Amino acid sequence: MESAILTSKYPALELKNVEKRFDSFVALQGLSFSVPQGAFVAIVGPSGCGKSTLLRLIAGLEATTDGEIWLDSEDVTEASAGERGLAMVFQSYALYPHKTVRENMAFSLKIAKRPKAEIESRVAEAARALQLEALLDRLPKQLSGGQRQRVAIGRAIVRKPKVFLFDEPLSNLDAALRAETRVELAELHQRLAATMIYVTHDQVEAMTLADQIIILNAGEIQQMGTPKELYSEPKNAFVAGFIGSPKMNFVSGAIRDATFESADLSISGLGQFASGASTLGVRPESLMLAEKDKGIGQIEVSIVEYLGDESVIHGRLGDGTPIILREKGSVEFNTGDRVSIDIESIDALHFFSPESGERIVPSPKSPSRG
Amino acid sequence: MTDVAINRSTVKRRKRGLARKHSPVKTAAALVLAALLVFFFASPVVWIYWASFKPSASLIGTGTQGLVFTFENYKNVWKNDFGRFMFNSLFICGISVIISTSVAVCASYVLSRYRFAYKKWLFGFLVLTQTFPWIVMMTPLFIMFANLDLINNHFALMFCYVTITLPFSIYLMVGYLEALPRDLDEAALMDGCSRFQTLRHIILPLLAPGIVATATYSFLLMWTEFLLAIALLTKTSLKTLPLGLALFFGEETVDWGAVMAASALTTLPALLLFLPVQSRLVAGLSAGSVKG
Repeated sequence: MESAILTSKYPALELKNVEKRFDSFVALQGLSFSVPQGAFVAIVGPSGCGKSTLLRLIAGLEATTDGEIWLDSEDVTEASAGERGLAMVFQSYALYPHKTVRENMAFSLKIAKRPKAEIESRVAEAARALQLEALLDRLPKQLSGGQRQRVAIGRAIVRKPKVFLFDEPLSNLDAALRAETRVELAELHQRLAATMIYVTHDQVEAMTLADQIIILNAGEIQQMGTPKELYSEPKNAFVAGFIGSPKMNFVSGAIRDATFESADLSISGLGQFASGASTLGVRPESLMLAEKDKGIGQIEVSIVEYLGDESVIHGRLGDGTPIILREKGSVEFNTGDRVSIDIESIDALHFFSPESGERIVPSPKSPSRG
Repeated sequence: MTDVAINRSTVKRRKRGLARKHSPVKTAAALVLAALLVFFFASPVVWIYWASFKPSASLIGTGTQGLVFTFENYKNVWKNDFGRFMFNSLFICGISVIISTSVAVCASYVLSRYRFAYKKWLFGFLVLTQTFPWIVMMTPLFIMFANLDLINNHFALMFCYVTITLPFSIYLMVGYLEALPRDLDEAALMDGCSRFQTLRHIILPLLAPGIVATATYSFLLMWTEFLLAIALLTKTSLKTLPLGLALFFGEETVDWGAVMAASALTTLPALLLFLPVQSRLVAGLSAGSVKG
């Protein structure tokens, strides 16, 4: 399939101080970011954070209240959806029910009055790429969910758009098909080398598919970066808690004399962190079981999930703070058992300001375990 | 990806399985009830058609020709210019239905799909007009059309018919449009359609059941309307079917055979026009457009 990427020195998409208000409700504010040509960018966030609104603003289905949207070197803020040259795959697929698969895929080209031969060849090309050739004369109601999803993608591919927009395209598929389609989307991105913007509430989808992730909350960008950056250097407690599965553990306490103390935990050797109240953030995979009465503290086991290659242990500290840790292989614990835990490395610890939630950046001093 | 085509035979088997769960007594009771309902609603219509082929005298119990079959009533009716009344009705109702339904489609699309100030108020006002008894408007309407020199003018009646059917037509159509996913409009907009192209290529074909239902409602209301017609049309050559039908009721005598033939002819066009399209009223065209 022909590459849809444009050899342009400009970003594929750029937002400058974009704001969206619905009457007095501010849905999005002060959004500025740019998407390089050929990038796969995922926009993630909890329900109601404004991610779908953001995609609709980019698509031209909603008008911005303020700010500018640029595609390549062109300001498209005032352009209609059709004029922007984008294609969108909807969560509901939005296939035209009275048109066959072929007609669905050819519709945009017919509206653009492309020559018949070109329409036929582009539909055939997309159908071949998505294994839809046998289904071209069927109506959407004669297709399974997965097939409809492929037709929706095919309809987008046929247009050879500047940017592909995906609005939670996998959320209606069952778990097995979702995993399969995720891989296919990644392959499609590689094959087309096209710019893709992908909205999802599933951080696993975002982490596995995207080159860059934008995390939104309450209409504001919390952080934009590579999956690795977001995982290892989250800007604030929200990002830290949103990325990673199971979620990061948070424990309130304070650092005094290079030691973090909470009601049940004590971690020394934190000379690179300033003293004061702080919230400890540690991922389940950075915690491990310790020998009795050793390590950083104890938890009371509430439940153990056995996943084959590993076990996820859910427990609570004495003050009720939930703690999750992942342990390789299987473990034999009963509810109510008290077990000691430890950390793998001080480098894996994050500290956040209890007031602002911002991550406390350690001073550049070589860390040492006390 | 796994191809999971819909297995029609499985669906049919399931349907048969569900049917088997009903007891024969319940099925028989339902059938008897349905037959009674059909008899209750259809018998007057059947009687009209049957009576229209009987001599007038036999209809009021004085005659004895119980098995006599005659076209005399139809000949009688036709001689009395009934063809002209039928043409007038078809002309007025046809054009009014086209205008009313077209305007209703556009208005309901705007009300359903656009966001604008006071939309709820506007929609509420439209519904409110339905509670207004339009008989009280007769005098002002008559004076208005008399001043405009539009008495005995079909245009005046068309204007009234479009006006009185529009609010409910819009109300009906908004209901149908609300059932169509907005994603379809947005997909069409992304595909490069203008709003009008979206309406023409995507919405109209899917709205066909709603359009048929709305047009049927408007047509039947106009086809049987009497009060406005009698106020605005006084020339016999301009009269519509309900007025023509009334002509067969004399001051002292009534030609019941002619009345039955005229009634049969009055119901016939409505039946012929809408029987072929009634299946569209329940067509589930939007199946498969969205998830599920």
